[in-house]
Amino acid sequence: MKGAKKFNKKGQVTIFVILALVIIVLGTLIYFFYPGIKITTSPLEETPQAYFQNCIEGNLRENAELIGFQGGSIEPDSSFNYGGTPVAYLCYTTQPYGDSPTLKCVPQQALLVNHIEEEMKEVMKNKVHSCFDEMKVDYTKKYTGVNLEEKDFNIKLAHNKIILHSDSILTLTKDSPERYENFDVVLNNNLFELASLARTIVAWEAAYGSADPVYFMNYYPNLDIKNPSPDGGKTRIWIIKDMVTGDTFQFASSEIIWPLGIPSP
Amino acid sequence: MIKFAFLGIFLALAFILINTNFVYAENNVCCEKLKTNADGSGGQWCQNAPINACDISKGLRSAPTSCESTSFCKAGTCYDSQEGICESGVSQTVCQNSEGVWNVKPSSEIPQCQLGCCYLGGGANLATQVRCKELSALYGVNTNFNLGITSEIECIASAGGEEKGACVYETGAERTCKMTTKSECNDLKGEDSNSGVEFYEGYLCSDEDLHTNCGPSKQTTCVVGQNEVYFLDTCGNLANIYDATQATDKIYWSKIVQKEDSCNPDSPNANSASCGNCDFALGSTCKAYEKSGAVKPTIGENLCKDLGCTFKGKTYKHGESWCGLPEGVPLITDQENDGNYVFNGKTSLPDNSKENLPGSVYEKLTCYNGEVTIDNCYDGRQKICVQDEIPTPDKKGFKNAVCALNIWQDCALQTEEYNCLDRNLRSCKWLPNNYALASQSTQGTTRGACVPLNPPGFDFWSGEGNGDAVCSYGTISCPYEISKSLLGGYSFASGSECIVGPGEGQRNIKPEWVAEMQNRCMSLGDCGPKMSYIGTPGAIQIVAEKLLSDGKSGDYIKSDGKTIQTPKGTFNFENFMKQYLKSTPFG
Repeated sequence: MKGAKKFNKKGQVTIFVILALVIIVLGTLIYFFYPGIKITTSPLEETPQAYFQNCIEGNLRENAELIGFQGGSIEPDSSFNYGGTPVAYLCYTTQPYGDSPTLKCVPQQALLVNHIEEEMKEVMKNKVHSCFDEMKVDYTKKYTGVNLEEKDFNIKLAHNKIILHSDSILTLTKDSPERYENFDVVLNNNLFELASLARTIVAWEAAYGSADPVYFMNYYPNLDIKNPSPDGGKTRIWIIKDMVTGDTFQFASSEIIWPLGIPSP
Repeated sequence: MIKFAFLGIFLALAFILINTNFVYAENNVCCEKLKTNADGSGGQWCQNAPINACDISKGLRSAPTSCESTSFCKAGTCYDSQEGICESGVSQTVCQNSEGVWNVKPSSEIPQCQLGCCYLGGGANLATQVRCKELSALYGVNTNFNLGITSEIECIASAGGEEKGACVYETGAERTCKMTTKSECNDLKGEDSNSGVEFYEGYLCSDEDLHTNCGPSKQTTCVVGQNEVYFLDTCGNLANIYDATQATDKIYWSKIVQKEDSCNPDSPNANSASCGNCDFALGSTCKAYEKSGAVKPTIGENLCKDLGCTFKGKTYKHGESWCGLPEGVPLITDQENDGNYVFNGKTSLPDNSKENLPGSVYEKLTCYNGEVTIDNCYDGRQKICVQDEIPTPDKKGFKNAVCALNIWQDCALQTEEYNCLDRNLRSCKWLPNNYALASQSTQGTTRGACVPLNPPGFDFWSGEGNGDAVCSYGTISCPYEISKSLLGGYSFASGSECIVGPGEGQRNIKPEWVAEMQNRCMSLGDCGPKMSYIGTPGAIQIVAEKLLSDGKSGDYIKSDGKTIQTPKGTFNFENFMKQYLKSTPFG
């Protein structure tokens, strides 16, 4: 009996060790493979502003990324196909060497930051509307009265931020009316800084000819700037990447030395 | 008297003597907008182009002049009055497309575009007054704008930022500390859990006299956005820049020491085991120590990583650029930066039989942040890579390369040596022989030929270039005349420079003349018998035609040692060449 007792104790210890190992292994697996611990709460328990932010943010991020990769436009008028992405020409010339003493290009987009804001607004229109619609439907389940006065919205690029602001007013009634206004979505993004630098590069190339990325990297050490030419020199793709955030803006710029041949005397 | 004409005809990739078209912008107009093509290309604004390329729909304009001379495409300043943004060098059309206000004046002459220093929170940047108001509203701060500061560096320096220090406070039973600014420290006063909040400007939390629970540690860290390695105190606050020699020094753990007063401030301190005063501009930044690295930091796990590169066994400094040596291009240096190139460190001229070969492209390489980037300069050697070296105190020098424009286009138009060699205007060389370019006779006053220093390549496959036309400039005739004396002997009346002889059976093309003409041809571009950069030979033809004294057909033609029989009758050179080319790979 004594031996059996001893065996039982040993068995219990073994089981606890095995259980502990299983818990550690499971914990490790969850830690490494589960994308993140998600605490799920009902959207209705959030404030309407937080609801709006959650509904919009992902789409705003995707579109900011897309616009960044395409030189500031959703559907660029004039672009270079770079690895399947239409990258807008922000500076372009068909003027061959010989017509001008330096190889300058002509800026194709003025007030780039404003243009990006307008493009972002255009592409976010449906999403903003559908988020308000969903919000209205969802809050109807919890509140007796839901009144949404949907108004216009705008998008601003600021330092390290993209801000979507809507003037819409939401009134929720259960026992007494609650009024919510100023629906803002703030996205941490460097599009403003990157687009501003793109504009500086364009101004340089329009004034002096092709620019050297190292010059700009020395000035902005947190940026990685590449300047490949996929077509043998005629077009250069400027790829400006923030090494800390990973935000990227790219645009095309052309430089023509054509035609090869001797100009007519 | 027997009269012969002996023709040396040099051909390169193809042959065009007639109807040579120089595709050039002679009929260009200013298009307000280019047509958009079916493939989506085109559609650019304000371009000088042939009139049929202009989009004239929806009232878009064109003018028979250059864009700079038109009202709609002239460059000026574009202004957004709401946002306070000014952009220079923008055409009126492009500005108005973006609903901006356009002004022909430069931005410096427009009052709304005057820049000043705009202070926002802890930072500052140059902006217009309207822009500053706009940004201040966005940040929820009062507008602070100084029109007296117009330099970006001065503006940033004037913002300064609040001094940091030790913010000491009691929380629970502990007296602890955070490194903050004074205003951040004041914010801690508002928190209920904190008491006795005091700010000590310029002090570190590890200062013994502050009597906090924070003290020196043997941990270091890297900080996002900064390059130096920092000590951490036992509370996790940043202390001074890592300096192993000061690790136990009470004073070093007491007050904030500025970067310039820290260890080796003028050195990158790359791979230093004891000093973490890294400097990005000098080529180092803080990185976690890797076990594979040669040096282990004396304290902690971080050190200044060297941002230099190793490429093909050579080391390069962070920021250095140099010319690559792909097949078929020379290494060009311009130490005095005056256009007087040195090729491969030896000669003032390239060896065009081995360099500037068809298909070759100059490369510029850059070492930046530990990564080497390779850029092709421009197809067809329209740009060449030129490097020089700046002397440095360590005597290793600092290499700097650029893809410089290969200004060869008007070499062939130069008839004077001094014009040909004016490196401020063009990049050409003078061949001091008796053969001018194009189909000029050797009998004349010409003393040489002006050819590109670095012969360009031709984009013949796209049909856009004028390679044929350029090579045809190398076509040359060397007529000769041989007189027969009554005694039966022969003598040259002309053409002895290109013909061996004059006795019957001796007459042939002089090999040295051929070599000279080949070199001349190869100097023009991708012409003549040049090898391509992968070793495929080019083509050159030396054709001898015997004309009869009545000027009728020749009865034999020599080509590369072969004899091609031609039909009897009147010899037609153009037809012959067409037939000949059909029998070649170029046909």
